[in-house]
Amino acid sequence: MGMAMKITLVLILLLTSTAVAAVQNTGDSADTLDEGNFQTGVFAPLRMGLGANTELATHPLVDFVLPHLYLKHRWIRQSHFSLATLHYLSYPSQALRLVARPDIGGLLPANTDIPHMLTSYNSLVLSWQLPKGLRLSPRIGLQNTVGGTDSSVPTIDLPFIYYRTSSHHHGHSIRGGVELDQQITSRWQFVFDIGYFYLPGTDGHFAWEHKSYLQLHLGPSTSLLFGYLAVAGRYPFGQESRLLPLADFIWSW
Amino acid sequence: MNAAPSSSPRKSPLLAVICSSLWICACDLFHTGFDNIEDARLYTANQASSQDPPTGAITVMNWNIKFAGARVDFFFDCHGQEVLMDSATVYQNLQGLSDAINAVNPDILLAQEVDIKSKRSAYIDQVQWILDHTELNYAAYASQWKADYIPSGGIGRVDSGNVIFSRWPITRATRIALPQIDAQDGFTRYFYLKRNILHTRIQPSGRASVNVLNTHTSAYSVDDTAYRQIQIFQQQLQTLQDRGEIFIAGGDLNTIPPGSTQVSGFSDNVCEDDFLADDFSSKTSWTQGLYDQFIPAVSLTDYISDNTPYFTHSISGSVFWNRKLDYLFSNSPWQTGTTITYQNLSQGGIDSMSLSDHAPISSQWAWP
Repeated sequence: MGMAMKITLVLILLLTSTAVAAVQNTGDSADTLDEGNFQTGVFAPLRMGLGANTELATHPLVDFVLPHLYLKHRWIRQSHFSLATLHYLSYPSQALRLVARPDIGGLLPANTDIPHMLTSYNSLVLSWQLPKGLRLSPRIGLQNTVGGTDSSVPTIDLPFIYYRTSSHHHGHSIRGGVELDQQITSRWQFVFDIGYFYLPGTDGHFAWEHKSYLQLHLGPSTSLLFGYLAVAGRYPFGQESRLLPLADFIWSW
Repeated sequence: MNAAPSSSPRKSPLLAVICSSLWICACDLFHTGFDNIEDARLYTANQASSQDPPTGAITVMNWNIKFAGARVDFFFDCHGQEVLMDSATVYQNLQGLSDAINAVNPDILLAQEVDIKSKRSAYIDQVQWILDHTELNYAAYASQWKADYIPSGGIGRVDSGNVIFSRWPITRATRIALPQIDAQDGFTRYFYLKRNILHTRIQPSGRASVNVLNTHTSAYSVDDTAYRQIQIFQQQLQTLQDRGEIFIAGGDLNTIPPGSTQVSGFSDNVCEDDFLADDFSSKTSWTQGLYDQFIPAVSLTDYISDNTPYFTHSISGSVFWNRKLDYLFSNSPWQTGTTITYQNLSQGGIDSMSLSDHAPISSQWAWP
């Protein structure tokens, strides 16, 4: 395999892992963007502060193949404690039809009959402000899919995708986790996150996902994010763990 | 014997820095590569059957089992669009295969296209399953198609290859890489099959060891890769012969013998590619060296007098066997009149047409 080929594969994986990690990264805390503010990244979603306690997010380019929307609303805001709920809705069928192809890019067989499906995810997120700039944010949520459970669509047995699409086949999955972040200096922020997926009805039943990254604020409206994403889980073929890079460039305005 | 060209990724300092900085531990990201020479994977049956050393002739069998795909019309043969099988289908097909193997009751079985962890066959380890449902006790496996994920056509994870099953212990098992198809682009070659020779040594208690070799050469090379693979296989056998070592060798060579009556235009070839895998017009001499130097289970004289009873392959389940791609050779004589090509119930006693796109062959052979 030539040098160019290897670098291409590395870059594809980098983009994939960062994109997947960013897909549902609306900031895993109970805090929301201030009203009228926006934030986006190369891979992170476009977040819009709609009100004092409400935030909308979506990936505009991804919407063309995977229509989706996030809504986060903060219900309680105190000096050291916040509570929010996150609500997500998507129509995954279009994206699945796109990857049901006979050649390169085919994650599903071309003759797969993909039904109309709607996926929702609703979670509760808490955030505690701790000493020394630490913030602890546990979360728990339920993902549901309607329309897919009676279908014969095969699973896509890839890290990050398999357990996120588990509800397509079994109706629901449970996700929980905790994020710890800290503003180390005025320019550096550290994030450490652990997530757990419980997948009833699957061959696997569980997956762990862990990400950790540093965010460097380059200026008042830009920052660079780099770190890693690790996943360990049980798939139909057995247990597997993966470690992949994480990188993004964030704009705020 | 000259080693085959490297099939494992080469590393450079620049790439090592990139990989390290990206926290990637290996640059064979989907684990598709192999070393030129490496140990094959060994298996043992969960419950042992008789391992009494041979007292007379043993039965040697060769069979490409099409990963227990029976006569499912997979996309690659262009008769259908199937890609994946569910576990119930695979187990049903494996049962049919093991029933046929038990009817022959071989002491050594050379098998090709055996899956051990492939999504297309429900991730069932077919090597272990066959060991646990036949009288065979040991196996050596050499993968020839392995990837954590094939991002094409929904194939997904795959691990498939050549196996040598034995009643007696396998004391050595080596995977020898064969050249890959030069005409393919780098991306395709990275995810494509990587052919090999599986070389084992089998030694019953108190008896001399015998070399047993199995290969499955390329079906789709548009250049001379398949020819070179057969040449390397022949060289490997010649080296053993020059050393005075006894061997049994066989496999699916994906080409027809010299003296074949029909060399192209097979009625079950419906793919519309520019390259026709089943046009053997320029390939009939490729196995001549094997016939000249070693002893085939099916003699060339018998084959030339009438090809038909020796055919071992057809693409479609609705077309009877119409070409011979599968072989057994040795440098020690086969027992005269014992070779069987199991084409159907009346020719061999096995309904092989429904079990695979290849028919098994067997022959009796006297242990030295």
